[in-house]
Amino acid sequence: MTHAIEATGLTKSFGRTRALDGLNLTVETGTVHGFLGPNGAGKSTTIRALLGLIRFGGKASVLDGDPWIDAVSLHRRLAYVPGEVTLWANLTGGQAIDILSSLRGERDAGRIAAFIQRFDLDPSKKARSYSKGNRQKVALVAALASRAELLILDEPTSGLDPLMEQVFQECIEEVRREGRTVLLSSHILAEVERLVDTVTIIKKGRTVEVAEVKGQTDLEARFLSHYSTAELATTEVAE
Amino acid sequence: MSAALAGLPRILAFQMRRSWLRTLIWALALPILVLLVNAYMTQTFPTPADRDAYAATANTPSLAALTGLFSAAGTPGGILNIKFWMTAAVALALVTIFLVTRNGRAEEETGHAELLRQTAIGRHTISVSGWLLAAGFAIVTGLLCGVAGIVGGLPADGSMLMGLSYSGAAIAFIGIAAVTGQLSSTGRGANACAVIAFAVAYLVRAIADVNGTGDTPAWYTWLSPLGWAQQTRSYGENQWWLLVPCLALGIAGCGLAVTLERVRDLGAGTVPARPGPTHAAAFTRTVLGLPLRLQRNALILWTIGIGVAGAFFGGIAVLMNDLLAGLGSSSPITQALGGAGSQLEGMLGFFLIFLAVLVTAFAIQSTLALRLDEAATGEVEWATSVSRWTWVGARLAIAATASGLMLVIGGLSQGIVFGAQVGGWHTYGNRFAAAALGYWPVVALVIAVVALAAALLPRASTGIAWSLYGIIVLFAALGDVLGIPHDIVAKTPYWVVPQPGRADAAWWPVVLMGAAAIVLAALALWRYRQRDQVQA
Repeated sequence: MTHAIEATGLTKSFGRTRALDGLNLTVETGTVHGFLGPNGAGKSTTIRALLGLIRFGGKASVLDGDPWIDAVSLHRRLAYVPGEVTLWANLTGGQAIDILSSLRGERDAGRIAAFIQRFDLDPSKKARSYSKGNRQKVALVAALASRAELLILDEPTSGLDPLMEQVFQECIEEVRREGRTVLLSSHILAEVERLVDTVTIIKKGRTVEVAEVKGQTDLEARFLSHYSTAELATTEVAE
Repeated sequence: MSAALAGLPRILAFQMRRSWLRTLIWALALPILVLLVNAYMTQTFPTPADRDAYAATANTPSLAALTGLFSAAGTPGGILNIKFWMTAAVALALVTIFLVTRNGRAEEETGHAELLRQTAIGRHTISVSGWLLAAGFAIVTGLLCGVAGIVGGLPADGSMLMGLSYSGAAIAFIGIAAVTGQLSSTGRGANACAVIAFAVAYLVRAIADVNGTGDTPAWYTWLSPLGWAQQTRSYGENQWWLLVPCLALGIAGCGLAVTLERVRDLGAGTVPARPGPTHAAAFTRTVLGLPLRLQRNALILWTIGIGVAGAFFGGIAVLMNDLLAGLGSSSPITQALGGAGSQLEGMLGFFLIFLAVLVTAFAIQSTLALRLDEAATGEVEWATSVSRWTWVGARLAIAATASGLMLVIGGLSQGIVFGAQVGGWHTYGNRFAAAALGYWPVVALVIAVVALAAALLPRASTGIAWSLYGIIVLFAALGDVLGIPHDIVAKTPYWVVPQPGRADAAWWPVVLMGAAAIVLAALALWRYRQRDQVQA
């Protein structure tokens, strides 16, 4: 298995909206792969397709399995942090972490305690009284404390403070060293530059660039080149 | 207008826009029910002698506790009060409490209030607007109920006082809900505290009524706002002045709430939230344990409620039977119970249907966890190694198993309490527990239909489910009261289930319904495995 994720020609429509329009995404095993695109480009839809939460057209394989058919067995081997974390309002953060870990099939109390401490999370608070950043921490602790081969993280640091952002980056470095794979969707270009090996940039449900990143620092220019200039070009043509 | 109330008209219009449908439904439903119940009671108890006999039954401990003691019991208006006053007052007060929380603390909890408070509106505008809206709703509904009484041919002054006494009870509890909305930091907490206060008021009133002499309850009914509203004695002495303390409690509560709101921060409660456990119990971490833990409180409360309802039905069956025997065979109730070996058994059978309809409400609520859980935490749960079949199956199993248990408990307590009066509590307990279980396939069919709705039309499923329940209540529980021909009612699912004492009963429709439930549930499972996860 050299590719943890391999998707070609993904399509998905919601009514008349075409959310995915032949998107390609390849993530090599053991790498940290960035997934970039503006709001509404189809990042979360792609991720939900790869998790078997929604049906889709085209071909996709996750950890050599079919994301729709093999969803249950695949989910034992991957961990997911959604972009907008909704928890059980009247259960505490500690309970939520335990539940998510157990439902995935492995709960390592030692690792959980360690990550709770690293992220400075109060696990005795009810989920409804957590801030956005603290809900994010709950999902991150549950995902990082697992020994999953593949981590799928959808804007995992939105709402985290700079200190926690630092902790998150350390954790991802450790995951890489352990040879595990990460798909990281993010808007924070500096974070992506620092963490990822390769990046896929998408626009309106299509892949517009796949590139090596490690060591390069021109990501922002390349990212913007796909949008603002292209957007400007179309506006000019339209006018 | 002072700065603290800046923007009040705008916010009031905004809140009305957000609550018009739910308030309109209640403002029309209660007066319509007043009309229907009044028409039915007038038809059933046409002569003063009939009404006196009915009033005598109402003056027995279990009915006095439930519906209260009323003056002028021998008049048509008094009969309407015995039958409907407590139901209407309780319904209006609870709806009003929920309305206050919905436009107050719940808005603060979701952050909507914060979004609004950054604009040019005052510190107390949102709260005061919510209380005014609730009070206006309570008064309009009360007035309409009064008009319904007059339309039904009852005395005008008594009718208006009856209607406004519902409003009075509701306004008193606006004061309570306004305060609990300041104390708790969550909408659920605010509602729970206000409902507990309401339950205490109800209980005080109930004990005072049981220990009353004649139609005068014991003195401590004056400690309960429900007691004040009830002691307006509409159609009897018409004590209008008792609306004053109701209004006073409402205003005092809102005044206290304003003071509390002035000294606290936006979003904070007066009572701090308690920390919870840092780890989940082993059982909560399982596929079946998680939904059970989430529904735990509902399961406990429903089971107790069904048990109490069964005991109550068992308790009043003999009294009701004596009353009906006095009316002769021409009464619509007697006709509705036709087909049973004896009138008493028909009555007990009717109560079993009622129990089954109550259990169905639980079953629907529990099955709808499918939709609520999917919309809220479905994304993270389905991204773990839980199959959708197991996930759906666990929720269906909880709804089905708990419904079966509740049917048995309700039937058992009805049988035991009834048997204790006529001798042989053991025999009757067994017999009614078994008979109640006969309704299990019907309830299972409802569960399956709701599950199918959640599978096929997730976003519409809550509406579909409760509309279905409305139809069930209309036909199965109220059909005869509302004048639907009994031949039609008798063919509905809840009435074809064989009851004790009915000779003509056949079991094949029940078997058929059970089979249909299994097929529909299988269809729902199949669809769940096919479709996208649907978020809120």
